[in-house]
Amino acid sequence: MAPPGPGADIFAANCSGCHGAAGQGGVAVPSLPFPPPPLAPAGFASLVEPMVRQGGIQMPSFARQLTDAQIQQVAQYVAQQIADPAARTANTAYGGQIFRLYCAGCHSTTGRGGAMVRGRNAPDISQYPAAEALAAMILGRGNMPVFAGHALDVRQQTSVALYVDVLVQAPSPGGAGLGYLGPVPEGAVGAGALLILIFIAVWLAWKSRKAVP
Amino acid sequence: MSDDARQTHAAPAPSGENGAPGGHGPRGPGWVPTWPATVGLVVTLVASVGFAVSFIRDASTQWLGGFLAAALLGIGLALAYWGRDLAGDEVISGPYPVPHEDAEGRAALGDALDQSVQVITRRHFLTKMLVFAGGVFVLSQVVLLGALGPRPKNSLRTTSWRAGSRLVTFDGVPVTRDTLAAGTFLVAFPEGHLDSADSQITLLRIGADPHFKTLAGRESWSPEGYVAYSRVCTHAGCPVAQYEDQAKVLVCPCHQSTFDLMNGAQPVAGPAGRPLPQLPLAIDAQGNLTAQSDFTVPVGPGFWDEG
Ligand code: FES
Repeated sequence: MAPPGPGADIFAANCSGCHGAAGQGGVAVPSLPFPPPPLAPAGFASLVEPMVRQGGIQMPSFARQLTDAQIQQVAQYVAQQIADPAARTANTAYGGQIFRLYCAGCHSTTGRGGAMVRGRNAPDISQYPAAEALAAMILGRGNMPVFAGHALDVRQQTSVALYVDVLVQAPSPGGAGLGYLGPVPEGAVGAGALLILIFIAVWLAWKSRKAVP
Repeated sequence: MSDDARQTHAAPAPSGENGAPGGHGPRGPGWVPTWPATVGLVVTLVASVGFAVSFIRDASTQWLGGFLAAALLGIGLALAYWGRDLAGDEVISGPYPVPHEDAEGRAALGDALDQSVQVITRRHFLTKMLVFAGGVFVLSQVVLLGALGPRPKNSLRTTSWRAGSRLVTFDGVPVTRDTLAAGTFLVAFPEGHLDSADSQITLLRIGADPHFKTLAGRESWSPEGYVAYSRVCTHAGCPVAQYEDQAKVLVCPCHQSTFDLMNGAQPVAGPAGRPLPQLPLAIDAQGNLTAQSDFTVPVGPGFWDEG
């Protein structure tokens, strides 16, 4: 079904071994704890490219095997020919809505992860390419349940990934992000600044007291 | 404030020239215009009425804040101006004279007091105006009591779930018997009430897990391994947003209350003292998940047994 082209050849040579000839996933790879996921929600080259270049939790980087142009070609091919057409209708703002409903509870609204009970924690998702969020929704990991196909359809999964991509790369307009950990470090910095100001005030008063004869 | 007023004060008239209270001409010694204070009080009046009207009409907080600021500013400026008028603005410098040794100073002080008394008596209008504007301002604040009502009546004990309400996702898509596989969950709402915060539920498919305990009286509440619990924490009302698949617990991110999904969402850790209420489920003829009824106990924090 897919027209032949450089992208198709690169896909056949490098990707289909794990993700299946049609990107359907489910090829058992003995050395991996999770089967490589299907590529149905990978509807945007901007999601595929960083994954191919950097690699993810299970997937190796292809930066040495493939040139930049080849990575772009295969990413285009996956997004246009392999992914489910529904994935290409995804919407970033809609993904944000879903992220806040399902993901932010554990990974926090900034995606930087958060503490769970009994010493566990939800990981910081900004350390992976956004496409890794698709793998997590499809496979479930540890205490994270499977979302794909049940709570979320393909378009919704892709929307979440698009949003994650924006979220973790967004600049911090308020100055230092302080690890994006929320109000606790912010309060600590505020309290520290307050202590310094109090110290300066006391010091000034001390000096002027000495100055009076 | 006009310049001539300040000059008049800066060079206080010698005693005896002040004349009878209110009797001298408009530009006589000691004369200060009343209009700045009057304007301030009128501003207070208008802004107070504006505040009350915008509160009643549910205007934005910017309007409320603006009117409140104008009202307070008006009355404040009027009082400040008037106070300056009463006290005069003579500046006495140098060593403080002992009054009984300083006849001249005493006379000057007496004059200043006299002048103030005259100012007060000349300002009957201003006094009335002050009382009126102040009264209207205080009255305008009474509307704030309206924010205490209306009484919640039964709304804390009921949610939007009714017998036969279909479960839908946040998008309004109906949930069917095929939507979830064992070990997955979603957040569901009653159809037509997507914004009803107290009705949101965690819908979970337990499947045929042998560890799942069906509580007495709830045998028919979890058809085909589907169970639904309120998503409103019984501690302080946060959404119970964390689901741990391996431990089969729901965890509230606010204060880490942990609810055991295998045992009626009983709290097993954290500050919550009550299980999450369970929604009785059914599956209709088309395979859609529906509610058998509303929750059988109130959702959220236990307001009814406090205090
Ligand atoms: S609100 Fe859920 S634990 Fe406090």
